[in-house]
Amino acid sequence: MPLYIAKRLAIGVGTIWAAFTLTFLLVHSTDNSPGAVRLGMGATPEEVEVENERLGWNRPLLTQYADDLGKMVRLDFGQSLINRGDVRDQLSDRLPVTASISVLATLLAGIVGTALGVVAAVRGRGTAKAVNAFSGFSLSIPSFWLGVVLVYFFAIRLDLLPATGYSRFSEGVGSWLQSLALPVITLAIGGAAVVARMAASGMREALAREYITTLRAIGTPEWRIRYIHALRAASLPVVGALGVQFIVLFGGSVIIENLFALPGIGQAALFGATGNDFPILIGVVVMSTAVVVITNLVLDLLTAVLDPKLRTR
Amino acid sequence: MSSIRQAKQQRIPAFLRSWGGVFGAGWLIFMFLASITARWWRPYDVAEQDLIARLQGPSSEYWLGTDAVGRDLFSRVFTAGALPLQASAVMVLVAFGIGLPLILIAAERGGRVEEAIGRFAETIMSLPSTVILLAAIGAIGNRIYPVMMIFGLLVSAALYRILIGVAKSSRQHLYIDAARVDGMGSIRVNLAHVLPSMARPIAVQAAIVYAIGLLIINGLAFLGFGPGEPQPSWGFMIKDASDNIFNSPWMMVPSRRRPLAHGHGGECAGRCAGRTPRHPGVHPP
Amino acid sequence: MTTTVQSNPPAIEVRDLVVRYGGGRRAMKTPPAVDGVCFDIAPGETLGLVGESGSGKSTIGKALLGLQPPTEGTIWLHGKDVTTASLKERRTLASELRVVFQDPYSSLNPARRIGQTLAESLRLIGIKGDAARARAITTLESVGLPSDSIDRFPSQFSGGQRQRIAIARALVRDPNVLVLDEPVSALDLSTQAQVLNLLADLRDEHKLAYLFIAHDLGVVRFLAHRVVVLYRGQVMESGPVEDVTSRPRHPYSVALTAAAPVPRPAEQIDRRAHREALSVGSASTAPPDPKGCPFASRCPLADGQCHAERPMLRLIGGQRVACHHAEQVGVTWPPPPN
Ligand SMILES: Nc1ncnc2c1ncn2[C@@H]1O[C@H](COP(=O)(O)OP(=O)(O)OP(=O)(O)O)[C@@H](O)[C@H]1O
Ligand code: SF4
Ligand SMILES: [Mg+2]
Repeated sequence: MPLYIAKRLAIGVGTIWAAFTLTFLLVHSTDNSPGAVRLGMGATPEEVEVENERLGWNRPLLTQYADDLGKMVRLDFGQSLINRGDVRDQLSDRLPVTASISVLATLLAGIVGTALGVVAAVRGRGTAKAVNAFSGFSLSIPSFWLGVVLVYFFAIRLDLLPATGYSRFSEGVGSWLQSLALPVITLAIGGAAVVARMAASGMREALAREYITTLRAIGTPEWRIRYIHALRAASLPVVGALGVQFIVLFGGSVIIENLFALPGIGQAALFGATGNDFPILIGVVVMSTAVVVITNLVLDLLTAVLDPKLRTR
Repeated sequence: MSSIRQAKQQRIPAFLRSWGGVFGAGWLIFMFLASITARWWRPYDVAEQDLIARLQGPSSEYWLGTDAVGRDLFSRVFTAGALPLQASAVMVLVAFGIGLPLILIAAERGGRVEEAIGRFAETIMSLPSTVILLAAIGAIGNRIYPVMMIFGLLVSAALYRILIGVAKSSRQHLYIDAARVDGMGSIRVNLAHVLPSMARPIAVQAAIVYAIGLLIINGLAFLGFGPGEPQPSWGFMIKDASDNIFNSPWMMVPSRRRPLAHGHGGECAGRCAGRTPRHPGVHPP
Repeated sequence: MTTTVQSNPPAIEVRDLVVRYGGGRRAMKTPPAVDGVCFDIAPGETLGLVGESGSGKSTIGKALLGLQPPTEGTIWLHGKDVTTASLKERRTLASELRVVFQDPYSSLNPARRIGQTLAESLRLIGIKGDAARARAITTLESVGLPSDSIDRFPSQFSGGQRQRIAIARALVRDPNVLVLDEPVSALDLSTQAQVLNLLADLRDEHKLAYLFIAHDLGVVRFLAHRVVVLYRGQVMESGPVEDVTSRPRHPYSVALTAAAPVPRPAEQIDRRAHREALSVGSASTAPPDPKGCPFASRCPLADGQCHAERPMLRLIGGQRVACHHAEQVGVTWPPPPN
C-alpha cells in the first residue's frame, strides 16, 4: 500500500513536470516575445529588445528552463504581461470557481450516471435502449451547444436560474448553487452518459456472477441482491472512471465558464490565450494539472480502500 | 457451408452489419464530401450579405435562414465543415502515427519497455487537454493544424491505453510465433500479422477520435479561435446564435445540426462495431 | 526402431540450457522455467520430451526456435552454435528447423488463405509466384490434403486438417529438424492416430529429426526413439523409450506412466486406482526445495537424504536417472497392481 501510494505520487509529479515542460517549450517556440506582448503594438523593436533583456528572455534556453522550473516548484509564476498582477494570486482566486464546477459536475455525473446505468441493467430492454439512446445523444452533442439551449429554456423562457455570473460561496450557499446550477448540469450530462454505460455493463456483469445466483438460491431479497451486492461490485469501475471523468470535465469547464461568464481558470486561460500572456498560460496549465493530479490521487486512494485486491499491494 | 459464409462475413467490417452502423458511416461520408465540395455548389457566397433579410427563419430562398448580417446559413454551415473535417483528420493521423508504433513496440518487447511507455502514456493522459490547447494557441497563435497536432499527441496516449491490450492479445496468437520462426523480421510481423488483426478496434477508435476532434475544433471556434470572420465556423455560429438567442432562437437549429451529426455519425459507427466507445481522457468538451 | 549411431554431428545438441522468463530482480526470484537441461537428437531420430503442464517443455522448444533467448547454455544445430543467433540470422536456419504448435486454431492466421500462409514462408527464402504455388500444392498433397485447400481459409477446416496444414507449413521449406509441441493434444483420439501416423511416415520419407513434446508417455511411445522426462525444468530421467516406459526408474516417471491414457476403459480404471494407490500427489504449487530433490515434496520414497541433497543424473542400465533411490524403483516400490 505505501509503495502503491508512492508510485501514484511519482506519476503525479511526473505529470505536472510534463505539463510545465510542454507549455514552456510551446511558449519558447514562437517568434512572439514577452517584451512585445507587454509593450503592445506601439513599441519599437529596440524598446522590445530592452524589455526582453529585462525579463531575462534572452538568456540561454536551459538557464531559463531551470530558473522557471525552480520558481514553479515554489508556485511562483511571475507577473502577468497584460495586467502586471501576480499570476499565483490571480489564479488562486479563480481556482475555487473551476474546482467547484468540475467537482460538482463529476459528483452529479457519478450519481445520475450510476442511477441510469442501474436502471438500464435491471429493467427491461426498452429502458436499456432508452438509456443507451440518451447516452449516445449526449456523447455526440457539444456541451456548449447544450449550455446555450439550457440557458434558453431555464434562464430566458422559464426564468428559473441566472444565465450568467457567479455568486461566491460566502455570499450564501443558495445563490452559490443557483449560479452554478446551469454550468454544472451542462457539464454533467456528458459525463453521466459515460458513467451510465460503465455502470450498466458493470451491473450486468455483476448480476451474472455465480455468487449472485447463490444469494438468490438462499432466499436473499431481490432488492438486497441488486442494490447492495451487485451495486457494490459495479461501483468499483465507476469510481475508477470518475477520475478520468474529472479530467474531462475540468477541461470542459474551461469552455463552459466562458459561456456562463464565470470567473474561473478557464476564463483566465482564454484571456491568456487571446492576449499571449505567457506567464498566465504556464500558471494555468500547471495549476490545472495539479488540481487534476491531486483529485486523481484522492480517487485512487478511494479505489484502493474499496478494492481489497489493491489494498495488499 | 456455414463456415464458408463465416469466411465471407469476415470480409465485412462489423459496424457495417447493422443499419445504425451503415447510417452512421454513410452520413459521415456524405457530410465529408458535401463540406469539402461546398465551395463549388453553395447557393450564396459565405460573405454575401443581404441586409434586408437579416435574422430570418428558414425560407425557400434561404433554406436554413440568415444570420445577424443577412448571410445565408445553409451555405455557411456547409462551407464551415471543410476545415474541421480536414484538421480533425490530421489530428487522427498524428495520434495514430505516434500511438501505433509505441503500442506495437510495447506489445512486442513487454517488460521494462512496456512499463516505461505505459508510464509515459499515463502521464500524458492526465493532462487537462483543453487547457493545454488554449495554452498552445496563446503561445503559437491561432493555427488550427499545429494546435490539432498537439491534440493528436495528447490523444495518442489515450489510444495507447485502449489498444495496448488488443495488441498484446493479438501477439498471443501462435501464428505470430510461426511467422517469427519463418524468419520474418519484426517490422514485417507487425505489418503483416499484428496490425491487420487489430483492424477492427483501430477503426472504431479512429471514428471516435475523429468525432472528438470535430467537437474540440468547434469548441475552440466557439471560444473565438475559429478561422476568423467572415469565414464561417460551426462553433462561432453557435456563439453567434447564442448572442442572438433573445430575438431569433431558430438560429440554434442549423448551427447545432452539423457538429451533432458528425459527432453522432462517428459515435454510432463506433458503437455499432460492437464496442462501447469508452474513451478515457479524450471526450468532447 | 533402433537408434543409429553416426559420426556426423547430431541434428540438435543442447548443453546446460537455462531459461528464465522476464528480466531484472523479479526473474531471479522465481525458479527458471528450464534448469540445466542437456540432450542430443541424431539426424532422423525422434526424441520425446514429456512432463506435466508447466514443466518447461514448450520453453525448451521456444529456446531452440529462437523465440525465447536462453539465459545460459548452448544450442547447436548440425554442429553450428545457434544459441544467440537472432531471428534474422536464423532466416537461413529457419529452413532447417521448423515447428508445429499444439493449438491449430491459433497457429494459422484466420484472415489468410492457406496458400498465402505457405507462400509467405517461401517468399522469405526467395521462392515466389508459380514456383511457390506449385511447391505449396505438392506439400499440401503430401500431408493428405486436396490441392484446392490452397485457396481456402483456415476456418473451413477441422482441427485435424488444420494440424495437417500446420505440418505442411513446416515442411514446405524442406527442413530436417521439426519441433512438434504437443501436435496432437488438441485433437480427438481417432484424429490423433491419423496425425501421428502421418508424422511417422513423413519422418521415414524425409529422414526428419523430431523433438516431440507431449505431456504423457503414451503418445510418445508410439513415435519416439528416446525420451527425456522433465520436471520443473529439470531432467529426471532419460533413455530409450522402451526402457523408460516399461521399466521407469524415477518415481516421477512411474507416476507419468501410470497417468498415460490407455485405449481400453477397463484397464484405464485399474490404472487410475493403481495411481491413486501410489499416493503421488498432484502438481503442488509449493516451491521446490532449493537444496534437495525437486520432486521430494511429492515423492512417496522421499527421505532425509532426498531433502538434503540434490540427486545427480546417473547411468543405470540404459537410462540416466536423477534419484537417490532409483535402485528401489520397480523392485520394492511401487506395489504391483493387484
Ligand atoms: N511467456 C512467459 N512468461 C513468463 N513465464 C512463462 C512464460 N511462458 C511460460 N512461462 C512459465 O514457464 C514455465 C514453463 O512453461 P512451459 O510453457 O514451458 O510449460 P509446458 O511444459 O510447455 O506446459 P504445457 O504442458 O502446459 O504446455 C511455467 O511455469 C510457466 O508459467
Ligand atoms: S531422490 Fe528421493 S525424492 Fe527425489 S525422486 Fe528420488 S526418491 Fe523421490
Ligand atoms: Mg507447452
